[in-house]
Amino acid sequence: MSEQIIVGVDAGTSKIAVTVGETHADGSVMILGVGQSLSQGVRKGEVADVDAATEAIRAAVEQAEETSGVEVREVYASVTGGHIRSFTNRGTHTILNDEDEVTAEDVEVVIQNASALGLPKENSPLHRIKQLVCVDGQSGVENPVGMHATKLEVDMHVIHGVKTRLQNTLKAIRQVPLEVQGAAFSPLAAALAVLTPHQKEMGALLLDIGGGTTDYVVYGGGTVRHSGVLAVGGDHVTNDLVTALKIPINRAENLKQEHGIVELGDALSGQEIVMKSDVGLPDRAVSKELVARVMQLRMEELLQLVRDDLDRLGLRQQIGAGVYLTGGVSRTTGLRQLAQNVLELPVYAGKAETMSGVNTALESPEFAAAIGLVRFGALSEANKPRRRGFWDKVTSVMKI
Amino acid sequence: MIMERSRKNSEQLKARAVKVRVKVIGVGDAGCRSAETLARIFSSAEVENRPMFRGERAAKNLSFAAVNTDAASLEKCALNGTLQVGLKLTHGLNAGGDPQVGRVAGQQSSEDLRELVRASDVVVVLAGLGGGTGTGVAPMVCRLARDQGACAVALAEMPFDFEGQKRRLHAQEGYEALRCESDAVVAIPKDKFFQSVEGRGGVLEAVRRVTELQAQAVAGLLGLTDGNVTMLEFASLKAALKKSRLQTVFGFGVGRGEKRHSQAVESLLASPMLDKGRQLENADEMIVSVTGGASLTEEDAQEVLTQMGRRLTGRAHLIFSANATETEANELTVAVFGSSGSWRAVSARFVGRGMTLGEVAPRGVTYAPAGKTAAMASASSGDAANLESAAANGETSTETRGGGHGVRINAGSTGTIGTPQPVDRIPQPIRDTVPVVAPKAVAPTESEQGETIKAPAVGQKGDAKFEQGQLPLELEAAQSRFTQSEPTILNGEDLDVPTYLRRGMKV
Repeated sequence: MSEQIIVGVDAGTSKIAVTVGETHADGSVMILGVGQSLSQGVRKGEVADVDAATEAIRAAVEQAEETSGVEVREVYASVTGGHIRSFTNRGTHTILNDEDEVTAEDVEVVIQNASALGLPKENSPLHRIKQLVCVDGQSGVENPVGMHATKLEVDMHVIHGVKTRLQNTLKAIRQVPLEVQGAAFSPLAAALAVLTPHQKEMGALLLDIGGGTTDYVVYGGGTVRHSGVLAVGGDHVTNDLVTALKIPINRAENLKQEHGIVELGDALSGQEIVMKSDVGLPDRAVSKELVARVMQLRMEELLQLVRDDLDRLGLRQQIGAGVYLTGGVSRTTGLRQLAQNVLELPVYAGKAETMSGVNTALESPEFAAAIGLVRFGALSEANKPRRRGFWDKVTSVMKI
Repeated sequence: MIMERSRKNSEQLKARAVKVRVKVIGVGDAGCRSAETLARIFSSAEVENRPMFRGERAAKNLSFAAVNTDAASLEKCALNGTLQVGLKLTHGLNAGGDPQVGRVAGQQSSEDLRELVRASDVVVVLAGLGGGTGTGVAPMVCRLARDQGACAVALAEMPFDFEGQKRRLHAQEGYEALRCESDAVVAIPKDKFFQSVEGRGGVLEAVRRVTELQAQAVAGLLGLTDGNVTMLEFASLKAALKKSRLQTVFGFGVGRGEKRHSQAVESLLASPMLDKGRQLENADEMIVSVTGGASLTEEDAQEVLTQMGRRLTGRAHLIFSANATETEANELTVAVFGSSGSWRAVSARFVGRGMTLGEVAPRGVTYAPAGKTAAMASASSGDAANLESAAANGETSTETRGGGHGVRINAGSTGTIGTPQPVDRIPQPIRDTVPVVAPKAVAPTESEQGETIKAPAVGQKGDAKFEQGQLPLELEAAQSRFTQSEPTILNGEDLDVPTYLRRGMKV
């Protein structure tokens, strides 16, 4: 694989991040530049106002171009939204040819079998991820092509979403104008940046808590076991504060970012946060305890919903390496401890694996998905021959 | 600027027998020190070339007093009129930095305080907020002054940042109490003067300058009450001061020589509290006092106002007075009280975002959630008597849309004196001032992200939403961030609704 420039566009609810990276023959990725802008027109992870979003994306792209010195034309995009679902299916296929040899076509067929089930009419698959390949009952097979077998079974994890809703995000990017080479489900991209193969093997939960949504993906045995989206994020926390404290949104947002905390304790009782009026005179005092309680209830609920989803599939016990937090909300004071309490698993701050050329800004949790997109792009490029047509382009049976 | 003034010819002026009695009362340690200093400044010995401090004339209508819990401090005070409060509580010691102690001390000595403010037309309260006595007793003094018909103006020092959060919060409490109990309160943040000294002075210098500002403010008030070149009717002054303003600032300028008019205005705008004049630009009301030597004429005053008009583009309603003192000095001073915001405007602004008037009242005052028919009650008292009188005055507002009108029930922390509040203090119902806020059109119109949030009808989300009746109505305003996306419903619960509400947590 020769050196390639890959650009990722992570258009979120709070911010747009664009990363320009260079992939090297040895698989390593170097980030050349990053652009960022305040997001517009994106709500709960989805583009609600295409034109506004395009403006914001353009601004971020321009900044990325400036910092990297690269002219951006084609990009990989991240997508999320409350409509995105996932399921795991087992597809089976009996080898019919005389030699009982598994061919590439056989693999394709079994993948198709596994993917087709459970996909609603208006949905398109975003990713089809091979989980487990069994050849005549023997599991753990990496590549069955060429093996002798009569029965081929594949567990496929399919991540899908409503076609039209997915298209909105891509449309906003195309309008910049840019060409979209591929799209990745946001937490998958983040996991690409944050999780090591070892952690994926041991079992890890990547939890990306952003402004509009909370996205997560569970790895086990080296592959994706489960994924999900909750359309609840930092905006909900702000909104809760707006209602509880009766203050305008921008004040609540500032308050949340400066003083936000989700741990309760005696230390808080009686403590007040004094908000200053425009003239710098103290304007109002709000109880820090109240702020903490309102925020904690929201975050606790969010974490409980994730936990419940994991328990439905009995996955919590299988997360050996722990939980990795990314996304802006993960910065909240006390969140790590709260997550540990609710999920009853060790919780860590997810950090993008240090790739050469990185500057400190990239270590912050908000950039995990954008950085991961570069790696996703690199992997997609490597898998290029397999793709046929646009939707096949974006759905990839690759090891991610 | 809209100007309002009353002219009288000089005969009538001289014939005016009734003088306006101004009493300056220092409350608490800082207040007493200030009062002492001011008394010294205003005594004839210090006059020299400072016409505004007017020496002998002042002595006739201006008196000083000091109020404190700390007996030792009062002993040292050079003023004749001193009053010790809270003897039974603190036994001559200070309030220990606790406003509650101050409040109780004041209550104990309420009769003495009432006597102190009697026979005054304007009571100026000087206090340093953040500690015990100043913070706790100053609001009470203001209330008692107003009770017997005087104008109460408070000049309150706010603590330095480095004094710590506790003092700042107490100061905040005290400021809000003063806002309710006085006709006008000027908050003087010591930090502003600390900075403006630019490292040369330090704390002591800042304090000295604050005291100087207080002196200028008192001089300005004096000037407003006995203008002899252009007189301001005391009734007009009183009315202007009593307008329930949200915030009052004070600035002072001085000019000398030929260009004294413009110089004075330049100097005024450089006044630390005025934020380069911006505070006056935003002011709704300006009360201006121009003072000069014996040769001051009405034209001089006009020239000063013209100069102000050139530099300020605000929409303030302006009243002024001009005074010529007996000195020969070629000095001209201009003192301006600027006030902005009003209880009414506040309620209109915040109601649109689901706030209630209770939010701008002092702490310790609770309110019922919106949706209930409520009367706008003054924050200073909330006992049933007040509510009834409010209702009797037809000031109930049945408007339940657009956010809450709170019923304010006093938890008693500001101290109950028990006298029913005069009706004129109750802000007008907001029916006539609030633009009709359609339930579905409420959306925050400011957003630092610069996004244009369209405000579709909230009900557009369809039946999947919660029933309207179940939630406080302020919620409609708050949810505009989510109106462009579909609601997040999980297991029959609308997750867009704040978690604390769904879990029944009370705030």
